[in-house]
This record gives sequence, structure tokens and C-alpha cells, in this order.
Amino acid sequence: MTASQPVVDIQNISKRYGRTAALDRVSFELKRGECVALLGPSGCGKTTTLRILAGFERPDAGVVAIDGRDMSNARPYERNIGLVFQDYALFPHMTVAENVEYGMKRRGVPKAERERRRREVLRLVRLDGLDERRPSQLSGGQQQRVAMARALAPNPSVMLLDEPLSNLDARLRHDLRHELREILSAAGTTTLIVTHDQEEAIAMADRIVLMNHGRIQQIGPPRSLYERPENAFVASFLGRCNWFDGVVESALPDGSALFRTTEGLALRVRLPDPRVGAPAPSGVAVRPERLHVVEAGTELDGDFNRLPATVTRLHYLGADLRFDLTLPEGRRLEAVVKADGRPLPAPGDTVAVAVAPADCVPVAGDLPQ
Amino acid sequence: MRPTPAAWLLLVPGGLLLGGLMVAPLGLLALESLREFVGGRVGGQADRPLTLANYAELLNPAYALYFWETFRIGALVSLLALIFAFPIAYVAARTPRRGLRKGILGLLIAMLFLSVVARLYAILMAYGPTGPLKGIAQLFGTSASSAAFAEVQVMVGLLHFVLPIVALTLIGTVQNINPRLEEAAMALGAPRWRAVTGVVLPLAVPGLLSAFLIAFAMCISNFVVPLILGRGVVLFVSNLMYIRFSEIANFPSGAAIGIIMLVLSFGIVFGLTAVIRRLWPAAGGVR
Ligand SMILES: Nc1ncnc2c1ncn2[C@@H]1O[C@H](COP(=O)(O)OP(=O)(O)OP(=O)(O)O)[C@@H](O)[C@H]1O
Ligand SMILES: [Mg+2]
Repeated sequence: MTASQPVVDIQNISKRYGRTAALDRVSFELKRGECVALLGPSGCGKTTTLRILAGFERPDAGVVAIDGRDMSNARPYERNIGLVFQDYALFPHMTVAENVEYGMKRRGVPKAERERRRREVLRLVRLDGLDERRPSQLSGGQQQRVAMARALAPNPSVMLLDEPLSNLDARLRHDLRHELREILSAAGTTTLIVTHDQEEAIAMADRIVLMNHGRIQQIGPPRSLYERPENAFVASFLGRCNWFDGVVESALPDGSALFRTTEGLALRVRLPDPRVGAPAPSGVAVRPERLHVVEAGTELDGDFNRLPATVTRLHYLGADLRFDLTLPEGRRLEAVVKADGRPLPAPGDTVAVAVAPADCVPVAGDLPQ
Repeated sequence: MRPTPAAWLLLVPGGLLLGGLMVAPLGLLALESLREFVGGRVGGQADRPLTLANYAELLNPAYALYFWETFRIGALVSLLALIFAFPIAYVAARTPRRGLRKGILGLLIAMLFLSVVARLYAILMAYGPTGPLKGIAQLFGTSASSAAFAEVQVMVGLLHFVLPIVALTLIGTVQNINPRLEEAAMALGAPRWRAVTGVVLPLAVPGLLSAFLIAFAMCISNFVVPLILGRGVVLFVSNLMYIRFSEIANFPSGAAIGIIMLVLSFGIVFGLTAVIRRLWPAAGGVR
């Protein structure tokens, strides 16, 4: 087994339930020590992927390999996986200690070693001294940690977490996000986290696998998905975006491209994907925080598209300001700027919106409504 | 939450029904059991002083044996019913195949609807001394007309009677246990059987206990199974009571038997429940 070999390799798995294609030729891999988030809207096939990986469901087609061995037909208990369920599924009739030792017991680890490892993982998840409690005597956050400890204890090849934080309240979820990430890094395990929460995915994952309707939309580090979305779904699912539909007309000498919106507005945009066979862009996505809102007539340093706009509303968000703007053609835009104490335009004022060509990303596909 | 005075009113219809149909007749039964019986006359003597003679008579080993046999066979059958019904219930509750689940449910409910008497005569005709399957008795090292085989037949008959109800009760029990728990156990390296014995069974203890008690109550109060399959060799307390009441019209003795049966059954139900709750405090405490 070489260091570069992926721990988990999923190739072309498909799964149908009756007429719905839950998964359609899904392929991705997990490298050693990596934390990957499987992200997508409800019903896109995240849980199905996880259950196929864990061995609770059989794919109709495709191969699942773990540690280089074909596991497509292996039973769950033959796979050496660590699973954390959304509802934790702690054994209610066992103590915390018995829960955590269960996996090692099944693998025949001797008692002394079991106890040592139990103390080790409970310390790792910062849960000392509760060994004799039962799950019903723990808070939600503590149960979450026990579930992590129980899954980590037998040293699984890969940890699979299904919406691990979604049962916790917003505050705790936010705190545990980073802590969970630290625990996983400290344990050095390869991890797949299923989530429909994009912030969670961005905060925790080294790479994101973004799915929709059973298909993979894009795989990459959070930043590349956010800044270089490959299609309209990716652009709109991750963060907010402004959308201009239209066509790319020509490449320009300065390395940008000329884009014409359906109402006839000309924009200089980033060059579309030059690869042969790449789908033609159907629009341009612009992040709200990449729009600059300036007083009409202000000179700008640098290379910008400049559009006149009317302020329809202004939302004060403390650290940020959010502008709802309308272009003369009727198109609505959203801009987020830092609240730096400058005087604010009022609703009804005419302003200029500036955006750099590099921040206008041409993408293919339809914008989901 | 404390019930409001108005809420107590809701208990009135049920209370009247229970009082009118249960408590009053049982009270009369208890009274009758204390009356003197004079052979040849119907019922007890209302004008004579009350006596415990009817109870004293039951201490006779010949009578005590009826109680022992009834409870012994009832407990054994209830235990067998749990053993047979649990796998059926587990499969019905957990199978992803809807057809299989519906098939099992349909079969169990059909068993409930089939007349008990018809089922018992079917068993008798098949396995009885003249039946084509009487050879089965030889597997038990006895003949189809022996007393031991009559007992086996009574047990089979009772099992038929209680199995569907026990299985249907246990389906609910298994469905109430989170299937993720088995999956968690399997992901941790336990084969399915280990997940079932180590996780599902302990959590099912309260449900198993109720199912056992239901089966037990149905068995020990049974009348028709020993009547048809017991061939006079195996008789339950109910049969003894029937003989007292209808054949020799000794109402006081029949009543005494009934009251003893009631007290013993209550004792067993509460005793068993207490023991199980002590042995499995965790399992009893969840849900
Ligand atoms: N056992 C099943 N029988 C029939 N259809 C199923 C089954 N499991 C999943 N599906 C369907 O497959 C698709 C994918 O489901 P899946 O549970 O994988 O979605 P998900 O991405 O986990 O969604 P969520 O975020 O809501 O949990 C859905 O359309 C779902 O209805
Ligand atoms: Mg899901």
C-alpha cells in the first residue's frame, strides 16, 4: 500500500430506488488523513452514498474500495469503518465505557488494552470522568462526543459522519464544528462528513464533493468551489450569488471575455473554461461581496465593469451592509460591503456598481429556482 | 400533571363498566366460595355460616396438581412462543421487502381469525392416535395415545393459540427499537446475530415480558385446548372449574378455585415483573 493510494475509492456507483435514481455514476476518492464533506440539498443522495460505503446498501453498479481492497460485496462488519449517526445511536443499555469499548471487544482486543484505548479516546474528545454514565444521562453535545469516541476507538480506516451536528442547537453546532475538526485531525483519520449545511462543509472540509439529484456537480477545496464554480448549481448552492444570463461573445485582448446579457448589457468577464467539450456558459455569477458600491461619478483605480444602479433597500448587519440594487434594465442585484463608517446612500439614490472582470465567473447550466 | 376534577369524570363510564361487569360478579364469586356445599343441591347454602372448607379442600395434592400442571405448561408454552415468535417479529419489523412483511402479517392475522376449535381438531386428526402423522410421537420416544404425547399436543395447541398474538406484540416491540442501533453495532464489527442478541434483545426485554405475560394469561385460563387435545389426561384448572360448576353443581368449590387462580395469577404477574425490572434496570428504564 503506497502513501498516495486513496483510502476510499468510489467508482461509478449508481443506485435506483424504484424510479428515482438516488445515485448516478458517482465517483470520488478520499486520500489518507483527508476530511471530505459530501454536500448537497435534501434528497440528493448523500445518505445513500454513505450507506453504500458502510455496506448497508448495495450499489446497482460501481465499485467501492477501502484501503485498496474491493469492498463492494463486503458486509458492514468486515469493512473497518467508524460510523457516527445523526441521532448518535448510542446503546442505551450500556454505559459510556461499554459503548466506547464495544467495537474493540468485537475485534477481540484484550481488556487492558481496551481500557487504555478507551481512556485515550475519551480524553481526545474531552470527555473524562463520565465513563459510568448511561447515554440518557448525557447532554446532546456529550452524546455526540461519545459517538465520536465509540467510532474512533477501534482505529477505523475511515470515519463516516452523517449530519453529525444537525441535532444540536445553533450555538453548540458552531462551537463543535471546529472542535470536531480538531479531534479528527488529532486522530489523523480519513473522514467523510455528510452535511447539507454549506457553512459546516466550508469550515470543516479539506475538499467538498457537491452533489445534486444523485450526480456529482463539482469536487474541490471549498475555495475553488466558491470562487470557481463549474456550473450554476454550484455557484448558487455555495453562498449567495448574483446572476446575469446571456452569452459569451468573444475573447478580448486583455485576457478577459466579452459577455452580453439577455437585456443587451455588456460585461467583461473571466475567460470561460477553454477545455474542449466544456459546456458553453449560460450566464455569469458574481458574489455579492465582490460588488463595490460607490457614489455615482467616483473615479476608480483599476479595471472594473461599471454599472449605474438605484438603491432599493439597505440592510444594516452590524459588521456588514447589504444593498438591494436595481439596474436600469430592471435586473436586481445584491451587494455586501464592509460597514466602515462612511456616509450611506439612502434608498432611491443612484450609485455606481463596480465589479472586476476576474470576479465575473461565466458558468454553464440553469440557475435552480 | 395532576388530573383536574373534571378529568376524573372521564373515568366514570369505564368505572361503571368495570364495577358492573367485573367487580360485582367477582365479589359474588368470592362470597359463594365461602359458602357450605351440600351434595346433591345446586349452589352453596346462603343461610348457613361462612366457611373456609372449600379452600382447605384444594390443599389436597390431587387438586394442587391441577394448578401446578396448568402453570407449568402455561409457562413452558409462553416461553416457546417467545422463542418462535421473536425471529418472525424481527424479520417482519426489519425486512426492507414490503411483500415479505405483509405476507407475515397476513399469515399471523389469518391464524387469529381461524376458529380455535377447527385448528385443534385439525391437530388432533393429524397427530392423534388415529391420524396419519401419529408416527411423530415416536420421535418423542412415546406413542400417539400416551399421556406424555397428550401433553405435547396440548402444548402445540396452546402454541397455535398464542403464537400470532405474541408475534404481533413483538413486531411493535422491535419496531420501537431504533434500527440505527443494530447498524451501529454492525459498523463496529458485530455480525447481525451479535447485534440482535447484544443490542436488540436486551432493549426488547420490557416488550418480551409483556408478550410473555399475555401468552401466559391466555394459556393458564385456557379451557378448550386441554378439553379437545388433553383427552382427559391433561386437564387445566379451567376444566376442573367447569366440572365443579356444571357437572356436580358444586358452585362454592368452583368459586374457590376461581379465586385462588386469580390470586396466583396476580402474584405471578407482579412477581415476574419485579424480578425482570431488577435484573434489567436499564432495559426496563428506557422508553
Ligand atoms: N429506502 C429507500 N427507498 C426508496 N427511496 C429511497 C430510499 N432511500 C433513499 N431514497 C430516495 O433516494 C434519494 C436520495 O436519498 P438520500 O437519503 O440519500 O438523500 P440525502 O441526500 O441524504 O437527503 P437528506 O439531506 O434529506 O438526508 C431520495 O430521492 C430518496 O427519496
Ligand atoms: Mg440524509
